[in-house]
Amino acid sequence: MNPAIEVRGLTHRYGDKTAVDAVDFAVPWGSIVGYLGPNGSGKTTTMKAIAGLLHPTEGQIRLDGHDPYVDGMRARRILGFVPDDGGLYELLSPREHLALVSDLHELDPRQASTRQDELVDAFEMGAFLDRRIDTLSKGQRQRVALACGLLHDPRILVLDEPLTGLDVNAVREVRHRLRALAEAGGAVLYSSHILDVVERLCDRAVILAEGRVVADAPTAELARDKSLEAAFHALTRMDEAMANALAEAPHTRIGREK
Amino acid sequence: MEALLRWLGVQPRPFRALLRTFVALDLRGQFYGLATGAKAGELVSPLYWVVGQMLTVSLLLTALMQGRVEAWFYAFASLSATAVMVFSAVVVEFQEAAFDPKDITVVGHRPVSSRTWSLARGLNLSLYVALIGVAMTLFPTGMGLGLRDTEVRWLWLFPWANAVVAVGTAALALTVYASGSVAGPGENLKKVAAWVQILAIMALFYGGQLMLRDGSGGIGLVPLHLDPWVSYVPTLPLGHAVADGALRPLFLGTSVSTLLTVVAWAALRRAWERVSRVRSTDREVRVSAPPRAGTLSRPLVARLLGGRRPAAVHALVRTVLARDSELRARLVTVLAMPAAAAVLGPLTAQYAPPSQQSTTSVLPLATVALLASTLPTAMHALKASRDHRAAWRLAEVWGPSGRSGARTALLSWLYWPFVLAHAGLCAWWWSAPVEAALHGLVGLALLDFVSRLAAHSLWVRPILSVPPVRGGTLGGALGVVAGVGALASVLGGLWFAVAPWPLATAGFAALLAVAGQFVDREIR
Repeated sequence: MNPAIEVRGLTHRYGDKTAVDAVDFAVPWGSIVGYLGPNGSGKTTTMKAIAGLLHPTEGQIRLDGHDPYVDGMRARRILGFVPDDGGLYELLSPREHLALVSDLHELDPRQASTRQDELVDAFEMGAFLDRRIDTLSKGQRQRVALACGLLHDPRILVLDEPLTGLDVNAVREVRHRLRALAEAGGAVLYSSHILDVVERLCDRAVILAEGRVVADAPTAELARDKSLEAAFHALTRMDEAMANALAEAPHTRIGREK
Repeated sequence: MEALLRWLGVQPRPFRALLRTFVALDLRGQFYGLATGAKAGELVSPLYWVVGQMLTVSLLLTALMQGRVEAWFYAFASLSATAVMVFSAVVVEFQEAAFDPKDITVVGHRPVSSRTWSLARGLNLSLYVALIGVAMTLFPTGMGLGLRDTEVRWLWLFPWANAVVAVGTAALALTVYASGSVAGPGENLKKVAAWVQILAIMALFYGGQLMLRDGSGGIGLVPLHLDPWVSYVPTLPLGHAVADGALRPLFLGTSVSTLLTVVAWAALRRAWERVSRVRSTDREVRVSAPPRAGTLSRPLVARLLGGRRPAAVHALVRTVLARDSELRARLVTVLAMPAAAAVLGPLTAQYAPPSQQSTTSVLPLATVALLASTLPTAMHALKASRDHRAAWRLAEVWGPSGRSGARTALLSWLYWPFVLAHAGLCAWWWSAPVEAALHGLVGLALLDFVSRLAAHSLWVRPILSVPPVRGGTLGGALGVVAGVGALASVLGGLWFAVAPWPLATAGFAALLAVAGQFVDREIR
């Protein structure tokens, strides 16, 4: 069985600057993988490449075995993507945007309507459903972006910092939905700086630093001694002693291999 | 319809949804949205802004030519005007209808084929082309029927030729635009198109003032002395075809514009395929560093402007002017009229010193008065600009000192250089540096007064910080723009009256300076 997301040797350069450098990882079905790294480490570049929005300089990407640059329609049908800027037309209302997404995915109107109502309730969007998105707060926009990403019930979900600006209730709702998707056999690649949520939610974590994978391990193993935050700090600042200790853990890949 | 779309390889439902969305987005676009207060779910008709512009140009042109030229030239000029206006409108006004970078993050990861997207964008654009085409057709068709050498067939031949020109030009513009879109959303092309608009305005201004001032019917002679290169302009044979009732060139034109439309669609598709994979916004955009606190000039500017707050706004406006290309394009268009007067006046020997008080000495003065009358429009454009984040910051630093900073930034980066360069031109042209210096001084005083009046009238409250009310922003702005512009013209007239006497002219400048201070203190 193909993994949900498979990234092999992914490299992307912006002119002279290498944003991601020979990145390898996979997201199996039924799992949530956290994709972590300091600012500018290449997370967003990787996610855009997976979503088919950025052609990598080198390397391969597969979504359930489909190359998004060769077999794009199939790959995009099973993918839900929430970019870091929300990916919304700001002059539409949330209701109009949800209708647009429903039409773009050619969803059955009745099912889409039921699903929309459910998401509007879940993300408490009823109060601003008919207001223009450019008049909404950051958290409200993020709810709209999440609802648009989830409307077509994707099997693979790629989320770039989805919790930005969300209140506690919305964060709980997102966590609940991601867990439910993984338990139903789907797959989630999840980028965030809120490491305690990642620690509780994700099965594995891939940590990037300066465009390279410095760790790909179960979150429980990474957080074994102290916390995921401590591991993150050690790995991204290359604390040799702690990194060596982490490397002894099973199912763990540590180091800036090229 | 659905079968046809499927035959073209287009997904019907996503296509309809995209088309509906694009039209709604355009109708709620920043200037139109601000002008009309369009809200989500509403489909108002704010396009009168652009369509009205086209109607005005068309009306002016037909009025200038009415009864003075033959039908073929009348048709040729009207069709050429359509081509120029459609080209510049496609690139400057509706560039987002051709390619909106936002499409990539919203649509790029959805299961939508490139054919579907490009047909929706193409049709979206063609709606505007149709509107512009109709606006540019009404007057020439109706009034053209009154020409000596037109017949009833003009009623359908001219609209046909005009449609051919509008569609063909839009397709050509789109092809050029889409071909360059991998390197970014055609920034250079936008500048070129803005200059096309400026040239069109200059030509109109020239034609207009020639007609108003030339009693010998000079425009009637223009068709007799056309330069040889004009024979290569495609609208010339179409103009002849309309006048002569020759169908073959019209059928040929229709075929060419249909072919161009197909090419444009293919170019748009290809651009989408390339750009949706190579995200243009992922390029590293290098910008020059904005002025920051602690630099050498900042304390000086703060001292000159009377505080750090206006100095900060001054720096902010400078950043907006430097980086907001949309705003720049609009300001350039606003400034085109005085620029045209300054260029065309000397070229047509109508730039004598105002002290002579002859009919040929009006333009040097009118140039500065016209420049002053553009200040409210330029300030409104600055205030309504929402393309750059710095523009939003302007709303937060409002108040008298903020207005002062914004006003001085506009003056120092655009208007003062213009007046000083104009004074230099006058000194050279008149061979009278003292009179030119006085002319420049009065110009600065006039700008100072008008800018203070406009700043306070336009910025009584921070409009960006409140949702615009339908008609409210436009209505208020229009009143100020018209009122202050009219006052600038009246002041120009007074200036003309005192121009023969240097002391009286200097006194007029002093009076303007005092009035400016009075406005500042009273309204503040």
